Amino acid sequence: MLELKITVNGKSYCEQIPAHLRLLDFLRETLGLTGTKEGCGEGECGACTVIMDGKTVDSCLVLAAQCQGKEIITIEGVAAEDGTLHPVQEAFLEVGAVQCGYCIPGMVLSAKALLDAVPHPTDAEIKETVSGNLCRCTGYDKMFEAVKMASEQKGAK
Amino acid sequence: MKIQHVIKPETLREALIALGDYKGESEVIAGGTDLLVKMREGHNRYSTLIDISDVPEIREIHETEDTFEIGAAVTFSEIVAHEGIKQAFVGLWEACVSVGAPQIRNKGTIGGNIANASPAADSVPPLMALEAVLLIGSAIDSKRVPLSQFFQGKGNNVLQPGEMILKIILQKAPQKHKNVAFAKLGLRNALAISRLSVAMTLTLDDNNQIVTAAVATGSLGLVVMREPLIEAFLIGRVLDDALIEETEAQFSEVVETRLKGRSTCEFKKEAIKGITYTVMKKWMAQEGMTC
Repeated sequence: MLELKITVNGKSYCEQIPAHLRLLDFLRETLGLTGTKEGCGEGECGACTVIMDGKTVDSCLVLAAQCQGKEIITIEGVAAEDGTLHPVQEAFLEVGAVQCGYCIPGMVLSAKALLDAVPHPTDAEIKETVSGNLCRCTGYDKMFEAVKMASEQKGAK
Repeated sequence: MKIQHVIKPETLREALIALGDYKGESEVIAGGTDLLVKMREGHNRYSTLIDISDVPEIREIHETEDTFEIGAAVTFSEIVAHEGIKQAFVGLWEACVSVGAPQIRNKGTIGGNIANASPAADSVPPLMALEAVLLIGSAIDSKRVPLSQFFQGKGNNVLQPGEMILKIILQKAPQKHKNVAFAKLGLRNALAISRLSVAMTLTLDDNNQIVTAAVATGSLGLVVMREPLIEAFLIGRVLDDALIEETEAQFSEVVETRLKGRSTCEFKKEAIKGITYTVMKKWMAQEGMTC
């Protein structure tokens, strides 16, 4: 066991964890944040995407022990504390980009990470950004539309 | 093998000492994008990991008059964001862009890509064509090993217990930038393991006659390798469309001989023609040649 000091969605944690624990399992099992999904467990689908120190990562491919001192944002941390949805979440709802919902946490986090870094991305940049998030339901077009809409709304705000 | 112990050194010295102290019982982890897949399949070998992902001395890209030196723990995203690397070695830059997807590139490192010793490693064919040299270190000493001498077989490299890759050294001189072209075939545009890849550097004289050639392939054998038969075929020839067509045929023969009897032979002996065309045309376009 080792002691992990980590910040998740703005809250600091200090937990005893086994060395082999994946970040994905730390979030879901230790912290009870089940919004992050396991789709494949081998970094091929992006359903487990979280933001670590500002960059998206597949949490199934990261050991929690590697995250000492890191800041993690999961889907639970995207909306504001008072429940106000992030422009990406608003846009996904507006255009109807959600079907079964399984890929959505990963998609939203990839989109949020993009807009945090590039407020007005090109279509190519949007496609590249979600290229690591597989969706079996939608055919992706509505995702692109939603991210574009969110980038325009964010600018307006 | 279940992980029992993760050590997180804060300096390179600490990392090398730990690697020496746990010699034979440990391995390094950087991005973890290969290692965690192996762990899931039960194929990882050691229960102690030394996490080098935040060791500052191996996380820099350093440009000198004649070289680029890339720290082993530099991520693919960091390489992709580096304008200097893109200008100097565009084929290497393209290979790094082609790795996985953003989430993989944000963690995966160039040192890990090399050390994992997969024949499908994306960054290795261009590094091989650029005749990269690795700086390998341990707690006791360091040494330079040409990348061409690093691989011993699929998943096998020359690293001894206690050793790790520190940096990758690329020569810019004498041209100050080396035109390397790269092309890859995968099953889709992203999250695609390379099924076949080729990297190529050439130098021409004033009559467009090829003076030197370095051709490296991925996923055409147990290791990424140089292709001396193709290089010999190219040297002394004038670079034009006719030569491209002849090279396609030559390469197809090489592939057919090498993969005879294997299920991938029929596909790859055909696919090599298209990818040869692509990479040679790319090289010419990158050089500003219209043909």
